[in-house]
Amino acid sequence: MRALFDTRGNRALVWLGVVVVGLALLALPFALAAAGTAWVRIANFAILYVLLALGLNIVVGFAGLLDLGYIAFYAIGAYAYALLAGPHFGIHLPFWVVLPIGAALAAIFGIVLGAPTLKLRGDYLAIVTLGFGEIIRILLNNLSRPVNITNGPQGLARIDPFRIGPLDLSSTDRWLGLAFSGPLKYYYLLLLFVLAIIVINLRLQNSRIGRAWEAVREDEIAARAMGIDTTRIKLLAFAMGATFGGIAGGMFAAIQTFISPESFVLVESIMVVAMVVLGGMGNVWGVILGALLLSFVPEILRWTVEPVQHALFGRQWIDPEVIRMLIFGFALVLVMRFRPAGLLPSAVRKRELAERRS
Amino acid sequence: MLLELRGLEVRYGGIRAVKGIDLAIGAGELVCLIGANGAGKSSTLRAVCGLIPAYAGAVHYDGADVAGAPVYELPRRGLVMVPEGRGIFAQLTVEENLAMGAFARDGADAASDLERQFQSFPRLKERRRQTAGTLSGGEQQMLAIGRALMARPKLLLLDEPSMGLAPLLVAKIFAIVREIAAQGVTILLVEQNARLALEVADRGYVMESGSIGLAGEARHLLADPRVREAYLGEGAT
Repeated sequence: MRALFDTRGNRALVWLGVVVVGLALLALPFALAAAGTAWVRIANFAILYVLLALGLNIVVGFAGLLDLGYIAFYAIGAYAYALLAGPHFGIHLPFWVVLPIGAALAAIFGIVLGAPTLKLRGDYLAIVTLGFGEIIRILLNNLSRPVNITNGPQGLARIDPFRIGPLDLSSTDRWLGLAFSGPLKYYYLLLLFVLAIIVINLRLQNSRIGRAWEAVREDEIAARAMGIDTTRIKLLAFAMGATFGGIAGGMFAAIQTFISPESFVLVESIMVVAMVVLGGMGNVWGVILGALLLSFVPEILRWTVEPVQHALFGRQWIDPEVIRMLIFGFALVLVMRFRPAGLLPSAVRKRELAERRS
Repeated sequence: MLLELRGLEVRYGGIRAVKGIDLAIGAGELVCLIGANGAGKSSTLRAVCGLIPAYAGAVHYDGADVAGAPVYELPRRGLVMVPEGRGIFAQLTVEENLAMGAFARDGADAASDLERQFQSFPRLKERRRQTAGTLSGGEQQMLAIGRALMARPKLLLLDEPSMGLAPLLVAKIFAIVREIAAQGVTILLVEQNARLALEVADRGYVMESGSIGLAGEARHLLADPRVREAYLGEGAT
């Protein structure tokens, strides 16, 4: 598996691979659209999860700070977008203004969460971040009185889609004889964002900052003795992770056009952590794989569990939702049993686990 | 004086671990701070490099007051510490550990420095791609020292380099310390192994329950009956 991503190998082959994968990704939504627009939407959500997982990977994978409230930043980005580009306050700013605002707001909240928890590690940090995630969600649920800011549990509807001049990303356009539906256009935009975030992640990993994160994850005192400003570097991890969460949240609001606190429950945070852990903490490709698997597999199961039961038994024995989670959970257990460092583990993680066993 | 402590006091809660000590190290000196367990040696060293705050007193390093300066700031100014228990990055390779040492100077000419460390520590070169956690205690100590040297220190603080090592390795580590000093690096060596420390050092300070009891030329201290009795395990005859 490693050889697949080893760019020191045959360069021409690598570029060929990039072109093939690129073309496949460009063609994919058309194939999905043939199976139903629902699948394009599912793909879009999968990409959103990739964005989230890559953002969380900075915090968990690179800096080693276990964050169980990551979805809060997603929520902050989403609400920032919904409030500044929607009918609730009657503000309709364009997305290229709102998205950065949401990202910045999320980053600020990242620092707000990071600053008081600087001395915490592992389980203790996980508990505090978990609490933070819940606080944000409960706040969004209750900020409807006395002044109605978030509209409470009813959520915010009719959120503006992305518009670039005359181009509206939510409506269908015909170009070159091909139908480009709303989800299809969002797919390409999301792809662009994911590409940018992948590049940022890869660059970060091999940068001075990336090395500092690595040192902090290993031994904080030694890291400080090496001249690393551990406070700043940890806050930077929180802020950067939160920024990506905020951007993903903004996109989510625009694509969905409706958001409510229910979209930002604890399970969502855990899902994103699971994606990072399953794929391989600290390995960008692993994290992407984890995010795609955990977002696609449940959907595929959703569409197959019922027909399969009907074919086998002639009737439905078990509720599809139940069996879906059952298979899903079982698969996770198997992965953790046989590939504890994740599907595509990072080099360092692999060593850690090998050492612990020997 | 490269490093000068005046009336340094360290407290943990209400307990005075270091009770106002004076200590000075000139450029190029190898000075040891010896004393029994819990005498306040490590607390002194930690206060010097900012890991714990000084309750009172001044820490002057290289012409500036560094008391209260953040820890990460000091390696940039050439004050580098090898923490007690070595503090290596166990999951990183030997080479990655060493490279991390050059972090404070932005990794400039890290490659040539790396070669120099490998020359001084051939064992580390053999194991450059191995994770640091798999090294033996002595090798880990060498790695910790090599990593500190990657920062090109003016003043090197060594906290108990002999801790947990076999006698043969301890002797080796001290020979290395002597060599580093010969290359012009100023060293403050905090050590429980008083004899070895005094044998390599130019001067020594003897610390006793938070205060400096004795100070002077290392060879004089080695001959001092009080030191011999209390720290070198020889009966007063």
